Amino acid sequence: MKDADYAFAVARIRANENSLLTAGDIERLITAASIRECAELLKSKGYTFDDENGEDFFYALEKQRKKLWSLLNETAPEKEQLKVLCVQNDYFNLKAALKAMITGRDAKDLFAYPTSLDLDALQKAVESHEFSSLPGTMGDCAKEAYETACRTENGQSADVIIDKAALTAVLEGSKQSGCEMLFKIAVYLCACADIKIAYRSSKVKKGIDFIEKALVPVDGIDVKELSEAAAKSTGDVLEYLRKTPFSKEAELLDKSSAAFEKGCDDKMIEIVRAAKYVFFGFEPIVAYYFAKTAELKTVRLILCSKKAKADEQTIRERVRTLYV
Amino acid sequence: MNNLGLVLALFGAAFAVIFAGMGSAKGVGLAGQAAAGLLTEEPSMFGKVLILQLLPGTQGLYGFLIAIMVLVSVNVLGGAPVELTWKQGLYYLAACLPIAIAGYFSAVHQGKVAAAGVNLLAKQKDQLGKAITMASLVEFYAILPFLISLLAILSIK
Repeated sequence: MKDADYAFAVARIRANENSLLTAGDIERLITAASIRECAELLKSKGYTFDDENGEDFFYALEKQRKKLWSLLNETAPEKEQLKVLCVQNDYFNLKAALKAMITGRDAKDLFAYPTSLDLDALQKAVESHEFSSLPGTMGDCAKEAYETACRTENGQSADVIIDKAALTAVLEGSKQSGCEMLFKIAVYLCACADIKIAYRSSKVKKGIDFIEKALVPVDGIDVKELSEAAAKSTGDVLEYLRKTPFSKEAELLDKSSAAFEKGCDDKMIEIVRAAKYVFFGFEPIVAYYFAKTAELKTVRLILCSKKAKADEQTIRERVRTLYV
Repeated sequence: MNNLGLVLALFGAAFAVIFAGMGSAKGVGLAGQAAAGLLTEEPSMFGKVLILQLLPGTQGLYGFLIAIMVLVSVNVLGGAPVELTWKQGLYYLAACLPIAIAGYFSAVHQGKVAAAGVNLLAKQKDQLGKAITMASLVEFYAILPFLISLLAILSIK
């Protein structure tokens, strides 16, 4: 695709960026007296609530997510490129279909959106064990995960296989997209996942074989060294990370898991901010997707906190940095 | 071979129209795509984005004027073409090249600046003046070759 083919898409995305929530809007949401007041503010920004009191906010957020995805599908000149944004949900849905099949539940309630998969076909393929009909490398991964789950009767081993395959697919997809910014995001996403896996594994004293199997090779992290550190202690994990480009993340992880999660999300927004100065290309579309996703995450966090009667300071500490 | 001079002159006229026109078509097309993207969300911006879309169209017009000048000079439009030596024909061809080449590239780049200007308007509706000024600066580099082509044609004896 030539960059000039994105002229329509980028202009439309720029017009939509005006309706993204600003830091001022977030502050007003935090200081709002009730969920109803939050709903009023969100309505002025294009959110739609069926319940006047805003109590159905999960539904309102889901509608926004659907709206975002339909906007991207309408504007992107090459729909195939958007698939890379669904990869994680696609693999999550594979996990959901496998779990539903093993436990005899209905997978439909577990599926995540947006997804590039035909979910009925996914369910059929999983139920009939015809994994080869699944797209790309997903078939091999599904077969391995299913066999491992049956052999070990341990869902975690199967999860590890699927999660690793998902991250590898994200890396591969972003590399193939030719969008440098998307690749940077994928690398950072994988690095954060590796850090989380290593830290948690060291806390629950997992063996080095398990850790090595779970980690995804990515720039800036030596999987072998990180696995060895994780097999020793959390202190060793942090010490190793301090020698890598992820020393800031190590400090945040040392503070708390919530601080680490927030730091990772904020860094992601920092990466996509470069798209503000791109006029032709896939970058502004990717940036809008991440910006809106971060906004929805933040709104959800605020509304859930309001419902749980959390104080303003606690909410402020967890609120993510926004794109605009 | 008696008509070689005339053939060269007509090639010059054709180049001026074709390349400058191609550049304008690309530029206007690019700005138009960006304009359509904005209008999908903000239909009220039509008047503003139309100006930006029109700007890269001028190069095509300059090329057309130069071609007309050549056709008039060699009296093709009058139905009785003058006899030109191959040297005179080559002069006409050379005179047409500035607007043909510089017209093409300036129109494409002006289209890009105009499309970027549409993006600017999408974010800040009151910045039309700045968007037009930036796109108009590229126009300067279409006017210069146009003048050179014009003066060159007028000076051919």
